[in-house]
Amino acid sequence: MKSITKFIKQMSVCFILFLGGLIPTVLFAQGRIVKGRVIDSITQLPVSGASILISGTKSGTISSLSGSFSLRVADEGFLVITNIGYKSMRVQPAGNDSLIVRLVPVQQDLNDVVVVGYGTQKKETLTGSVATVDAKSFENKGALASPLQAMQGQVPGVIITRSSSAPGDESWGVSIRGAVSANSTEPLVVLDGVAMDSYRDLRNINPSDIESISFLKDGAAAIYGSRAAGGVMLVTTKKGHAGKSTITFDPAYTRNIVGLQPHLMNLEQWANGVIEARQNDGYDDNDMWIQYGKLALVNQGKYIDLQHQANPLPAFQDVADLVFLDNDWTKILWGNAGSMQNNLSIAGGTSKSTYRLSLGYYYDDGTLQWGNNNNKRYNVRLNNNFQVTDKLSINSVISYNRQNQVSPTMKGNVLGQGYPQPGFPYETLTGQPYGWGGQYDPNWFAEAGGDNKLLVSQVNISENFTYEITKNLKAVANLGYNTSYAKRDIQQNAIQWYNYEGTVAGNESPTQANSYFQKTAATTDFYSASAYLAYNKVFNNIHHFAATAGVQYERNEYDYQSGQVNDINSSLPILKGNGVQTNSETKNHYAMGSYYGRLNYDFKSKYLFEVNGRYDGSSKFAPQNRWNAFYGVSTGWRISQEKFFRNNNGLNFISELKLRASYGVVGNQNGIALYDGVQLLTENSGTGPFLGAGKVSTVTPSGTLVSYDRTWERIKNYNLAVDFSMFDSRLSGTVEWFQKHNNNMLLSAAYSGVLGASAPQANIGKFKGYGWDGNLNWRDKIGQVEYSVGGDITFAKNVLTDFGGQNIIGAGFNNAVQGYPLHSVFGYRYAGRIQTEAELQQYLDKFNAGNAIGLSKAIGLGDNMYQDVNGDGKLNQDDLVYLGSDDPELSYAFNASVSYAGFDFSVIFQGAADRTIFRQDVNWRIPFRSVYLNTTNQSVGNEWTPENTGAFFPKYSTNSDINNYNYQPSTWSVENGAYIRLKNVVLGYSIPESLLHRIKVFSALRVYVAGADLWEYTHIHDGWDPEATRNVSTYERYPFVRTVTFGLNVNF
Amino acid sequence: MLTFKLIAMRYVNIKNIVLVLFSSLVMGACNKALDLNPQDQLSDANYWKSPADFKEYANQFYGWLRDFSGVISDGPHSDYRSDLMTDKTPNIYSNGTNTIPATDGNYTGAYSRIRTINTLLEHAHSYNDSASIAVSIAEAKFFRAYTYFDLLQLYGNAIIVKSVLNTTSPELSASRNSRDSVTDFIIRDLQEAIPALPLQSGIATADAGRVSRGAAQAFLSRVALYEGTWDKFRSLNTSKAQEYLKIAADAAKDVIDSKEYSLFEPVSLGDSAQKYMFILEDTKSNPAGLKKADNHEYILVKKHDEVIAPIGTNITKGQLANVVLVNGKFVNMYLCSDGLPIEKSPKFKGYSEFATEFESRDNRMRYTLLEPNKPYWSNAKYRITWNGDEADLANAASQAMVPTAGSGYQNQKWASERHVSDTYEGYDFPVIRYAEVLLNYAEAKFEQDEMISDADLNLSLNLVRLRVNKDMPELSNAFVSANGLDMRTEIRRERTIELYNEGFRVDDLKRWYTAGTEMPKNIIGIVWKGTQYEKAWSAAASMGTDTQGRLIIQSGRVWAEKNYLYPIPSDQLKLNKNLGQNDGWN
Repeated sequence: MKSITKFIKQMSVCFILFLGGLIPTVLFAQGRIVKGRVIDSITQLPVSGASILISGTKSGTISSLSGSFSLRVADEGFLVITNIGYKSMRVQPAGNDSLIVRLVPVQQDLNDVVVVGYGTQKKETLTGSVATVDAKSFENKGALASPLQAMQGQVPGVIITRSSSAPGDESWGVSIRGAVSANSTEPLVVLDGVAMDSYRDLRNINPSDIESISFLKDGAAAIYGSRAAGGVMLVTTKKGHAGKSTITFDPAYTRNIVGLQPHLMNLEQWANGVIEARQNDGYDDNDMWIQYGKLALVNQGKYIDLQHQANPLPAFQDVADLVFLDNDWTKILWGNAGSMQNNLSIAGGTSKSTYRLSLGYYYDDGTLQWGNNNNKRYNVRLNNNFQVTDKLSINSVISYNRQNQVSPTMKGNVLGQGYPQPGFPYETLTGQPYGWGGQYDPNWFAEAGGDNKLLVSQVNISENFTYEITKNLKAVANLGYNTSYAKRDIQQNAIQWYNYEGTVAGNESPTQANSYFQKTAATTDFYSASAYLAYNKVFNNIHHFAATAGVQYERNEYDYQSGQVNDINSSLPILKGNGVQTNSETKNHYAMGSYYGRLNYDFKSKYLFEVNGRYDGSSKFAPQNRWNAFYGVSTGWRISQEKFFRNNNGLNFISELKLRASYGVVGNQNGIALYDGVQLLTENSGTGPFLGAGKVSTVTPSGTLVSYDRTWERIKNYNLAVDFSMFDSRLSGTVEWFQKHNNNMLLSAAYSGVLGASAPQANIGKFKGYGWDGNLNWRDKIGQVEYSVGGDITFAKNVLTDFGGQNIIGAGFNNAVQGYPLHSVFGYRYAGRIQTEAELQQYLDKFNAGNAIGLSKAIGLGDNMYQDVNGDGKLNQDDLVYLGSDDPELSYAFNASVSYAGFDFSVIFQGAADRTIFRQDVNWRIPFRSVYLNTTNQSVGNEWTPENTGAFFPKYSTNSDINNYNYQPSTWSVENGAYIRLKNVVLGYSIPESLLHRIKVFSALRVYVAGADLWEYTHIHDGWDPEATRNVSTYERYPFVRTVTFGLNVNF
Repeated sequence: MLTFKLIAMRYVNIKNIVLVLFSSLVMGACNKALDLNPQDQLSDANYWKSPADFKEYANQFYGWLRDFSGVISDGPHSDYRSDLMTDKTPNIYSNGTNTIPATDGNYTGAYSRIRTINTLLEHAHSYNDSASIAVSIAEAKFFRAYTYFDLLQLYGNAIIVKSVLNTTSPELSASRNSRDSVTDFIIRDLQEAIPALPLQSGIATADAGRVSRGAAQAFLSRVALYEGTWDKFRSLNTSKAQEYLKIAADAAKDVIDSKEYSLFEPVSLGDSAQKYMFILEDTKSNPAGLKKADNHEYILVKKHDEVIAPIGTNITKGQLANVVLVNGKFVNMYLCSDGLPIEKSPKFKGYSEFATEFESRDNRMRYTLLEPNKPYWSNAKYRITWNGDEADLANAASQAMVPTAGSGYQNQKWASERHVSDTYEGYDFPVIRYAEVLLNYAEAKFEQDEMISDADLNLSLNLVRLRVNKDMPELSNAFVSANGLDMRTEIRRERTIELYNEGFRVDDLKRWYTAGTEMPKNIIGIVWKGTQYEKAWSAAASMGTDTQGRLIIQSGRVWAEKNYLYPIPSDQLKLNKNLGQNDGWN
């Protein structure tokens, strides 16, 4: 099962070595004088200080203030022009004409053009809050499960989280400036003008096809109206450029190294712990588990076969043997693996048409060492531009994405509970599944339980027509079609379990009767048609008007079928078997009609104004309240353009200073069902009352009323910002403050029971989100050394200001509590450990009566005490205190890069703070909670005993009352989720141009090695990765991996 | 459509694209394109098209019929909440210590059902051929009456909801309608349903279990008797009381006159007929091998079947022997075979030995309770030959049962004697049976005039009393006066004995206004002091005995005036300020 992986790994390594071997020796040549000028490709302004180097040499010059330069080059020599903030360029001077070098900016520069809703805008006159990332963000990152992976912590205001390393099930999450509602609010993702079903579909995109992503964070998103509450991500894919065809090949091999996960007790620690726990619980030597523990200590590494020997533990009756190996189950289950991403693209074109074709292959192997678990992604993308006539151009994007994922069907059995105790063998002496008294090897559920195979096949088409009606007016129409087919073949096999010697067949679990094959197929078709008119004109060189107005219709059709048959022949993976057969189908659709528009005015590019809006109609609502309007207004003031500013020499160091303010109203329609305006009836065939000869079918109204008056949540979005750039643009940054009010949040309202049904959710709640984000970057060069440092930070808080009066707080994680942030953690205040009988008696006397925290007389020395916070003499839920939020309130990243003589080096640190985790999986946290399972070893030697009264952990116990009491949510039991980690580190070397020139095969060649998540600093003390979620069960159990990537960038 | 249009037009004129898009969307075509109906779920939009739709919709009502679960375990009408029996843990409703609950599913559940019913009625209203759906409409009205009667019994006043409400309906903030108007609403629904419903004999096999005209009439007699007596014994509204009692008597008489039903009294079962009726199944479940089709007493049932719809609760083991703590007060209500109560009958042999108490008593006593020193069977230790021979006895749960637990009186009603897995018993639950109708008739007649003719007694109560007591004297005015009896007491005794453990007693005590005296009495067990039990069950000494030497099973019971109604749950009071709490619960 691992052979394919190995083969691919070996091949990749070979290929890298092969290319590495091609690095030839250096040669040199001489020639003539070349003159030229370096300008910005967009602003056409001169670029001073750009480095012009003769390829393969150390000789060169620097462009003057007017951007001009001159130097001597070899006849066939190439020039390499580099400047901070621009893509480096390689040109071959021809003839004696003055050479014009148009440098293309790469960084988020104030001069950039930014993709916004239905158009583009110049960043300098932008008034909304729009963060962008470019293609560079996705380079050098190795095999990426999703483009989101590359952006974690690196876009101000954008919070990206993950919950698993399971191939294809990473569950990347993204939120723009945090929550705006107790209902979910995901960002809307628009790919080349066509909305995606969900941001989760991003995982099927090849990250290296992405040209840019714009994050609309404030009222600027209002042009997407009812779907803009969570912000909008506009993804633009790469296009071809006129000129010589370029072929790029970027192979990368990534080694996945098992990262942080808790360490388990070894056999000796476990056996001693069991004995101690049972003794603490008052058991004597007659106790079966104390006997078992002692036997384990004596027989470490051995086993007792009860078929031929007398049973030393008569209490264990149903077992065939007693095995006392010393297994480390984390090592048995997990191991390093490999993944790769290989991209090939061909781009080029003429002035009439350009093209870019890209192919991508991604393979990710799971670290689970048993069963089949990997994910493959295939991407084909063809991007064409046609200048059909002088006035009409067509941009056509056609892409095909395919995902093939396989995972063990019985993953839940493998990872759903704790690990077996260390003595438990992972296979029989004959290499078969081992079962013992109703317990089974978890690894064999993965290995023998069957595969869950997923195939996703997607086609995305976006056809964009632009017609220049006049010089200032153009019409743009877009037709989009996304179709996605997702098929799952799930097979669950019967498993026969054996004794350790492999001689006795014990239980079958699952049984043959419970074996099954299930096939599900889901088809989603999404159609989008939109058109807009865009007008753009400058009057008298001072008044700049731009206007956009358009319409759109979108429709989604979903169809899901499922069939299952039980009692199958495991070698025949089709819907065939002897058991029960079931079928079902789900089918639904929705549609949206919209009108949208935007007006921009700026005066001398100094005073900036924008209004945008959208009028949305959704099929989800009843016709009478289907339509709703959303809008945003924003303004900007470029102080640096003012005369008083420019004329003030003291302020000369500031090249750009802009103030921005915006207000917008955006909508959220999450929490609303697809057919809100229709009274649904539920049909149950043959399961109703017994009438006549059998059970009859029933048709019952769904328990929730049709709503005729509720509507979208409307979120008011405020934003204030400063953009600045100083010291000749070496230092630049943005600081933004935001606040979001949701005053008509959809919540379930309670009505008089006479109504006879659950009332539909109504717009009755209030929610507030607020915070600030920003970034700061410095870039410069000292001699030949270019360097940059930068960072960004996001601080996002929220509070549920009104939840319709409901305010029931539970211990632990709470989804929504009035007066607190979403996802708040509450717990009791730890008040130390019971050390003396007198203390115990006093505590019990005071609080045992009427307590609601699980305190009972079973509690003894070495157990926790909690504080009566409100002083009412009782320990109950009124004593819960707020311990923090499960969501990080602060997330940040720092980056630094330096490049010199072909070498480039960059690091990114990413972190989060103000996060409180209460780990929900009890099997991990509580030692000996289930006596027959292993637990983590942090407590070993650090548990309370009469000799070690200062220990961190309470006394060992197997009593569930005591354990539940000690380990309930409290200031003691929660984890501080703050961390900082080395997210990415890259070292690359570009082979000198001169060298490449001689080989004549490559036009550019770079080798690099990159590492991800190689180091971190955290306060987590339960052994989990700091990014792990509060749940560590099944998918979340997959340890996050540290990765090392070897890659090449080759241009032909 | 739009998509194709656009592609076709691309080659014609690009300006037209814009025009088409703008015009088609702006002109409102867009709004039409947003009218989407569910595709995989029925909705009001694609249902209610044929009589079959209405009939199918009405199916769900039958899921609401009272079932064993609400009677043999704690429920608002269960005898566990009455004075006839108790569980090991005291029942708070029975001992009068229940408090105001935060929420109450009985209240909100009823209105959820009413909404479901009103949905059918509203769609029926706009259906063009109402004659073709008359039966479905009648079923809806029957079940609306059935549901409202529950509200009336539990909470008294109730908000009448006749239509499908929305969140702005005035009913949501209305005060409750009076008992009388609720009763009148129930009666009207039933009276409208009765003519449209088919006779029992006219119900097709495929519809077995659906409401018949007789069921609606019988239920009407139950409702009217309930409210007639409720009003009468509280001297609330004499004319209303009289009106209701007349309706009750008339409706019961209609059932009797229809001759559609008869008591289950096959000769082959003799004096055990009543016992085996309760556990009648289509698999052999009685010595005579009779099946459900032989029973014409059940008027409306919650149908069960071992395979198709088993009862689903462990009814035999949950009801047999000492699991139910039967109150000695109830046991003492069984007449002696001469038709006289034990205080008056020379045939009563006292309590000295296990057997004496059971001698010469109403035959229902030994078939409803387990007689000491006699064999009994269960679903696990079941009858083999059904004739009590050696093979049968060898497999008995006990060959000579001696009570040493519970109250000493042991129940066997609802316990099967055939071999069947736990929870798979398949006898029907009698929601309404003919015996009740006969007893309703007798009582309604008596309460109307404070007297009842011998002819009416023979037409009704005596049939029930003599079914398994062929030699017992009839109840007559002469018998009553000759023996110094009270006719009302005898009528109520017969009802209590016959309908024991079927969910009537606590409601009867409420309407008779006698719960205040009956409910606070101690629940007692067998007479222990000075009897055979003192030796055989010495451990019972710790339970304590009363002055008559009877075991005290439960004491300290209370019943305040407020206990005649349940409190309105506190959440509903918050949600509707005008709802008003029931008296005494504030």
